Amino acid sequence: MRRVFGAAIAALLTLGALGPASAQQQSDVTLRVASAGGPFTEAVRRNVADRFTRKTGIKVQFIDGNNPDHLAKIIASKGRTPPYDVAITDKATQDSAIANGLLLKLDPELVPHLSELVDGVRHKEGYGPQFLLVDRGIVYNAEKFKEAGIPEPTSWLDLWNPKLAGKISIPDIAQANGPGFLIQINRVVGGNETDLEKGIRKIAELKVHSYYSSTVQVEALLPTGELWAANMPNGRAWALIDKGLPLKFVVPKEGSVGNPTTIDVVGGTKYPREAQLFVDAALSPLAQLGLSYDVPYGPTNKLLEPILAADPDHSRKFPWTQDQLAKIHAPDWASYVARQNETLDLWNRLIRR
Amino acid sequence: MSMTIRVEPSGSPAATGERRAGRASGASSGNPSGLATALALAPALIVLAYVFALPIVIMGSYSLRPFSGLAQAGPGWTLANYGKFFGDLFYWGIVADTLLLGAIVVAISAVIAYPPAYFLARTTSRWRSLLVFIVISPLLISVIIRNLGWIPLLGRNGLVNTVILGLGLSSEPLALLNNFTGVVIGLVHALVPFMILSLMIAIRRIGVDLEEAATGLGAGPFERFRLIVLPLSKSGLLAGCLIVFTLSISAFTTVAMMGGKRVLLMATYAEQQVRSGLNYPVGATIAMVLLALTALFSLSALRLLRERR
Repeated sequence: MRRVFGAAIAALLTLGALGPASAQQQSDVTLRVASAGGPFTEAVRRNVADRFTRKTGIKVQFIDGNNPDHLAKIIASKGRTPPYDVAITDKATQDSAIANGLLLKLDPELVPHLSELVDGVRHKEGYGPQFLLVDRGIVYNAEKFKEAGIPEPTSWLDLWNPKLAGKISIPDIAQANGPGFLIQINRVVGGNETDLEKGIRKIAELKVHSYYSSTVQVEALLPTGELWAANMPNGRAWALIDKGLPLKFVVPKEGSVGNPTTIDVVGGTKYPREAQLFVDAALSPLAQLGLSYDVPYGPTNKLLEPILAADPDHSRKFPWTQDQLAKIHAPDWASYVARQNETLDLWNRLIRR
Repeated sequence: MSMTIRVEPSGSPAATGERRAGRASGASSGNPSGLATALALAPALIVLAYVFALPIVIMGSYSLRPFSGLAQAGPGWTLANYGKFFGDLFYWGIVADTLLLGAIVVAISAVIAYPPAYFLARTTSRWRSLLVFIVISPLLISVIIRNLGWIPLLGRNGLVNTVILGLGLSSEPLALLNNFTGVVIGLVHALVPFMILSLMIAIRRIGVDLEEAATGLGAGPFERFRLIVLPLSKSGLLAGCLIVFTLSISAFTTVAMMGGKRVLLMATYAEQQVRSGLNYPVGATIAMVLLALTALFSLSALRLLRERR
């Protein structure tokens, strides 16, 4: 009953937010959108792109890849037409792109949904906003923990429990979740962000099963019981839990480091207007609500707050309240990237060999 | 009683017959002129220059430039990248590990390859072609699928460990994956076919009558191998070692998948720098060093092979 009510509100809000209804239009334009691939791209296609194309006639083509690959391609194309019109990446990549002068500032007239976003997710200088909120924590096999007599984790340091040796997987530094994990552990052991050595040394003490280079590897090993715990983003963890596996997800008490998904228009695009219309479509309440059901990351449109409050079974899977957002630590990604060479080098010396 | 049998490699009647026939046909068609040869080769050379030589030159130029930001090479020339690489024992360690991997894979492959190569060279069974196909079959599978297939076999709960634990050979499951051991297993599996084929071709060229003569004089199978097969198949062994070695030291996918981000060799280090660190000057430097190493070993081996002839 609550869900029907919530959906009805969502529909009304969307109609209101979209303004006067526009007739089906035709367009020759195809927007190229950089995305992460897999179920995520499918979810964006289903909830944002298809509806957008039906309404405006503008076609959308997704180009999947890792964020560093997307960034490298955009940098390589500087001065010419970029390979993407819209880029869905993460905060770290966005900061690098802005530092290299690669992104376009958004025109609030073309992206009216910007005004509906939760506090703190709009970019201060007018670039693309945070699109989806991601929390990172520990996903663990509750059954295995109980059998082995290990208490359920409440702190990041619980990963260092000797009983878990060889049974946990953490992201490799080169994987998207890697830097966030490192910065968080560094915080826990009292290091400061300008020098991540303490964090790396702590991680070097961890007896892992593997350092994953793709969450797919963890998703394959958790169900078989070869892995008992892993550091994962909430969306992937809940996707596994919803499959019925005896897993639980927790954000440890020390908090987590934020690297939210961002959406931007790439500078030099031939279709700045159409690209911004797409960004607007992605930020609309209905699209965001649908996305959160397909891949459980936190929507950033605050019009959805009453609906999310009405469905706690759904909204417990992701961060969406102001309190939760306040607890996510936002590091200075630009300075992390500036020191990336040294960090990679230290990781190689202390952990990789 | 032991005898040293010294034989010319080209002594078998079959080989001399083939060569006489070859010389005859060569003489009748005549040598093509230099210009015609050049023109015939030109299209292929131009394509190679553009697709192969030019990218290597560009990459080499990246290695001589400073780091100036993500996914780019800075202005000006510098030898600092090479200086940093060769001036630090850590990087020498990566080179050493890479060469060590190559040596281990070659050694294991050579030992594993001789029996099937000998069998395939000598057998007159009508299943021979099928057996050769089975030998090559690992190469027909995509490298990613091939390595994925190792996971249920080598994993902690995998088939191998289940058997080993079941037989009581170990109390703890063996770590065969996500480490150097896993990489060796994956590479040997993928590269042994090259060694088998190379040895098989070389052993076929050894006249069967030589081995029959040795047996007649009282040599057992190991003596036959040591005194006849091994010395006379040295060129095949060298060629096989060269192929397996150069493919091992430059292997990427197998190292990445079987090593679990724990094994840092030249290829995976270069990938990390270029794709994740977006540090093109350093990545290019590593790649050029690897290229130089591969060229060095290839040229030395080819030199040895030529002298053997």
